[in-house]
Parts: sequence; structure tokens; C-alpha cells
Amino acid sequence: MKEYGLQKDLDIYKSLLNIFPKGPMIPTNVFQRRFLYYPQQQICCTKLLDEMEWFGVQPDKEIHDLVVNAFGEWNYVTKKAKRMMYWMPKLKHSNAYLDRRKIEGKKLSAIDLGYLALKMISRDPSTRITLVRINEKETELDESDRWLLSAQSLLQRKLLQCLENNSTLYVDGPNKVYLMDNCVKYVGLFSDPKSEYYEKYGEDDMDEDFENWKSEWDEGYEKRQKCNIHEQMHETVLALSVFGKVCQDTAVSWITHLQEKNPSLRNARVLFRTRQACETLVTQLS
Amino acid sequence: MHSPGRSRNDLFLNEYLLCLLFDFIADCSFPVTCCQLSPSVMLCRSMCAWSNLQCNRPFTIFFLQESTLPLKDDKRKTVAELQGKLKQKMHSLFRRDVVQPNNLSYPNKYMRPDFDPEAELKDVITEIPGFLWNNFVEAAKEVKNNFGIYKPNILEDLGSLRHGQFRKDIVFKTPESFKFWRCGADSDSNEGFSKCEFIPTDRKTALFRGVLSTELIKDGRTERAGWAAIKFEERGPFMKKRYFCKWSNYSHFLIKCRGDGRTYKISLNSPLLFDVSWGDAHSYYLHTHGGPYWQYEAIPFSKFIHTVRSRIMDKQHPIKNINVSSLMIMLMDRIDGDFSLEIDYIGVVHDRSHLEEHAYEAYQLPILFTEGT
Repeated sequence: MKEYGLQKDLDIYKSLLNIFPKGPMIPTNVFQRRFLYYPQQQICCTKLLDEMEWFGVQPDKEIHDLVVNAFGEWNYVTKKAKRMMYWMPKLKHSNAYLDRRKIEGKKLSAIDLGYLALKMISRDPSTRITLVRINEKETELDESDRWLLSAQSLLQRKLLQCLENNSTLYVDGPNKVYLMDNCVKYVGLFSDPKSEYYEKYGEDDMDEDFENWKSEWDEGYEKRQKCNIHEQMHETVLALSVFGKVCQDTAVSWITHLQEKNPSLRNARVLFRTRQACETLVTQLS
Repeated sequence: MHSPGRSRNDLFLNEYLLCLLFDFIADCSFPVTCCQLSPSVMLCRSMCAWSNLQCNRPFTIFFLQESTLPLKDDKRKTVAELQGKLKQKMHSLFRRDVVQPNNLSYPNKYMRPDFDPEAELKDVITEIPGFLWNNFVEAAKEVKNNFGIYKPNILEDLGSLRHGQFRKDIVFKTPESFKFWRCGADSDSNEGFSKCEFIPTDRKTALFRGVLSTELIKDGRTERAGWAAIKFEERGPFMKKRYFCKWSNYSHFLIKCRGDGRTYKISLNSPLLFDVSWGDAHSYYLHTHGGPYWQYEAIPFSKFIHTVRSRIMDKQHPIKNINVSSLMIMLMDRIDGDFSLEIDYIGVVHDRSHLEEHAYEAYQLPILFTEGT
């Protein structure tokens, strides 16, 4: 099926199931039902349904009716069709991070895939994703590669504002992320980690010394600023991006685009650590 | 990791001592060449058989298993020995394929063709003292750790858990943490072209990475290919299994990981004594979102699906964590390419608002209703 490119076409499976003759292979007594009536035909049909399952093709009622018309209501292969009807729709949408309805059966461009990838890997709901067209004069890129998608949230902008002068930022990439069958490469802007980082399940000490108990309001109204999700243990995430082509020109354009809304970025030193041809290329832009 | 309850462990230790005593007598004092079975030999053998039923095996069997388990360093045998072993193939009564040697007392757990249940008596006698002493020391440490009353532990065992209470049972801060982990892909048994490795990083995490390939080997026998897996199976002294008993009262399985957008499979295996239950597991997806952010995935135990050898069963029942002894993370999502999954810790977390027992229907068919079976 894969060689002809028909492995995800449901109608092909229906046509193949329609080849089985209707009526003669339906069991009529207990012994026929028990002992795998017409075994080769049932095994062949089971393998065809296995192929559907392997390629993730969702069965519908017609598939079930075709199997019932050929082999009866409660034959072995009919039970497999019933199991597929039960479990495959139940587990189809179990992914909470990616809506597969936006990818399945659609021809998406690289920009659409990059947008969906950035939407998936950005775990801050206030992230804004912008599409930037690179000017022709600045670069020698191809026409189809003069674009980049930038994802940054308000918290990340505040983190950028609070950076000290002459601090070092890193553009790390490319890293892979899979959107079902498609592989998208993203690039991130990171800085050095902070002393306090985000940990969802933190170790709260079981303190049984009652004299040191304090309420939340004992410190007054002003609270200590909590760590947000961008302050990870080993790095601080300041922005994420998907490039049309991962190279220095696109990275320079991205930094220029970020400087429009983050003026403090001009005082920082940006190191590009891009993996090109399995090598680490370290340059400095100031 | 904490061991199971105190009474259970004391019972195990007493049975261990009894089995050791009788087994020592049986092995050394009464050689196999004796024609008549004296009553003491029969008594010893009945004691050994009884101990097998209680999931406690004599130490010689543990010793033999240790020499063949891939948990230790795996020495490859010579081709001549392998071919000599493979010539004595056993064909089953109804099948055409070759049956690997299997036995309740000497289980060929990983179905290896070069499994050798025999060992030289000279080697057994020379290596018994070191094996015994090392395992006795470990058992003594374990018994010592069981004493003492600690209020949070008692509350945890009784099921009085706070909302958001969690525990990290599997961490990767020391090189000894990788002792009980095994890593495999289908190219290891010449069934595909996938590769994987499980290595520590310099950030005290574990990295499971490799290449997945669904390309088939053109041998006419392989129908499916493309899997890579890591498995955690902890053993105590005398190769005793450890169970995740502490997880019984928690509601969610917790894993802190950083993936690449692929979908992995978490499998909690609960094999019992008889080989019909060796494939029992409860599995669920581990969807990763990729990116630089860590992912705290809390999967409810009610969502785990009862599977036998990765096939979903019709009769579903919720997971019993007191029977779970190993944990497997598998990738078989049929997408060719690189994969990378970084794991910080694995544990459990409790959510008091999660009252669901099982997420899937558990039908009760009428008596003698044979249509659905």
C-alpha cells in the first residue's frame, strides 16, 4: 500500500473488503463459529484491518458493515473490526498539546507548520506569534526562505527588560520537534539561568515547629515575585522562533525584529550557536 | 526506594533462610548419582517445590538466572556453542515455529535462543560463598531500613494523602541509577533498523535518544518493524523483585520529561508467577510537546489500558500497583526519524479531586454468552 501512496485512503480499504463474497462465509452453527470458519479468508481480512490500524486510518460504520456482510455478526474478524471501532476513535484525540484536525489530511506550507509548532512548544498562553518577512536588500536568501516566525510573550519581554547591560544571550538551534509526521526545526533565544527557577512540584518541607508558622498576609500586601515558566533550571527562555532557513542572516533579522519591541536588547551581546552540518558555529554580534 | 511492608519482608527473609538451608543440604550432601531417593531428599525437593509456588526460589536458581540475565554484563558466546545449542530445536505439537526452552523453575524470560539453563557444578560451588555473602549483606541492610516509625510514611501507607502530595521514586543523580535500566531496539534482535541509547547527561538527567525506522528486513518473516524501548526493573537481594507498592494510594503517574513532540508509550508491567500472565501490562500514551520547557505529565492511573503483550484486552480492569514491578517507556509511533526524550524524574502525584476509578467500560457478559468471547 505504501508504494502506491494509498496507505491512508479509506476508500481503498473498502474496495478491498468488498472483494470478499457475501453470504457463504457466515457461520450457521456453533461449531462453525468456534473453529475459525473459512480460516484463510478471515486471516486475510484480519491482516487488512491490521494494515488500516498500522497506518492510523479511522474505520467507520461502512467498514464494519462490509465485514459483517462477509463474515457474520460475531466472527473473529468481525470482533477485530468492532474493537477497532471502539478503541481507535476513543484514543484518537488523547493528545492535549496538538490538535490533529489541523494537520491530518491537509497540505500545509512550511509557515503553517512552523506556526503550529511554535504554538505547541510555547507553554505560555500569552505568547504572540508574528510572521516576519525579510527584506531583500539585507540578505542573499532564496525567495522561499525569506521568512521567520517569532514567538514571545509579555513575561519574556519583562525578563528581557530586567536584564543587566552587557549580558550574554544565546541563539541555540536548530532543534527538532515533530508534528505527527512532519519535522519542524525551531531556534530559541536563551540567557543564563537564574538562582531561582520554576518547579511545578516543589519540595515543601514538613515543618512541625508551630512557632514559625506565618500567614501569607504577615509580610504585607507586597508579595515576592513568583518564578514563571520561562525561568527554567538550566536556562531562561526569552524567545522562540522558526526560520525559513537556519543560517546567520535569518538570525540577524530575528534579533533586529526583536529589538523593535525590546530596546534593551541593543545593549546585550548575542552569541549564535547554530548546528550546521553537525558542527557548532559560534560567532558574536554586538 | 522503600521496600514493601515489614511483615511481608520478614516472611520473605524467613523463607529465604529455610530455602537456603534445605537447598544447601540437597546440593552438597546428596549427590544426584544416588539411585534411591531417601526421605530427606524427597523432603528437600518438596520444600523447594513449595517455595517455588510462593514466588521464592532457591538460591541456585537465582544464581543460574543471574548468570543469564542481561542485567549483568552480557558475554557473547562463541558461534560454535550457539550453533550446537540451536541444533537441538524443539518443535511444538501444533506449530511450525521453533519453541524456545521454557520452564517455571528456569524461565527463559527474554526468549533468547542461546539460553543455557545448565551450569557447571564446580562453578556453582566456587561462586556460592561470594554470592551468598554479598546478598546477605544487602538483605541485612534492607531489614535494618525497615524498622522505625515515621508518621508521614504511615499516613501514606494508610491512604491519607494531601492534595498535591508527590514522590519522586526514580531519579538519575548518580551513575548507579542506571543499574536497573535496560535499553533495546528492534535492530538488537535483527528485526529492524531502529537504534537507541539511554545515557546520562551532565545535568543529572537521563536521555533516551536514537533513530526510529519502520523499514523491514527483507527476510520474508518480519511483518512489522520500528520500536525502541527502555525498561526499569529493580531487583533487591537474591534477585527479589521490588513492587511499586507505595504507588497504590496515589492517583496520577508523574514524569518530568522534555521530548520532541512525539508520542511515547508508558507501560507498567505486572507479571505474576505463571507465564500466561507475563505479558500483563497497563499502558497509556505519553504525549510530548517538545520545545525547551520541561513537561510535568501527570497521567491518571484510571486511564491506563489493560494490555497483554501490547494488545488491548476486551475485559478491562484498573491497575493494581502492588503487582507492578517494572516500567517501560517505548516509542513505536511509526514516524521515521530521530527521537530524543530527556527524563528528570519519574514518580507519582495525588489529586484529591480525581475520583475516577477506571476510564473504560468493564462489561459483564451474561452467563454462557459465547458470542462475544
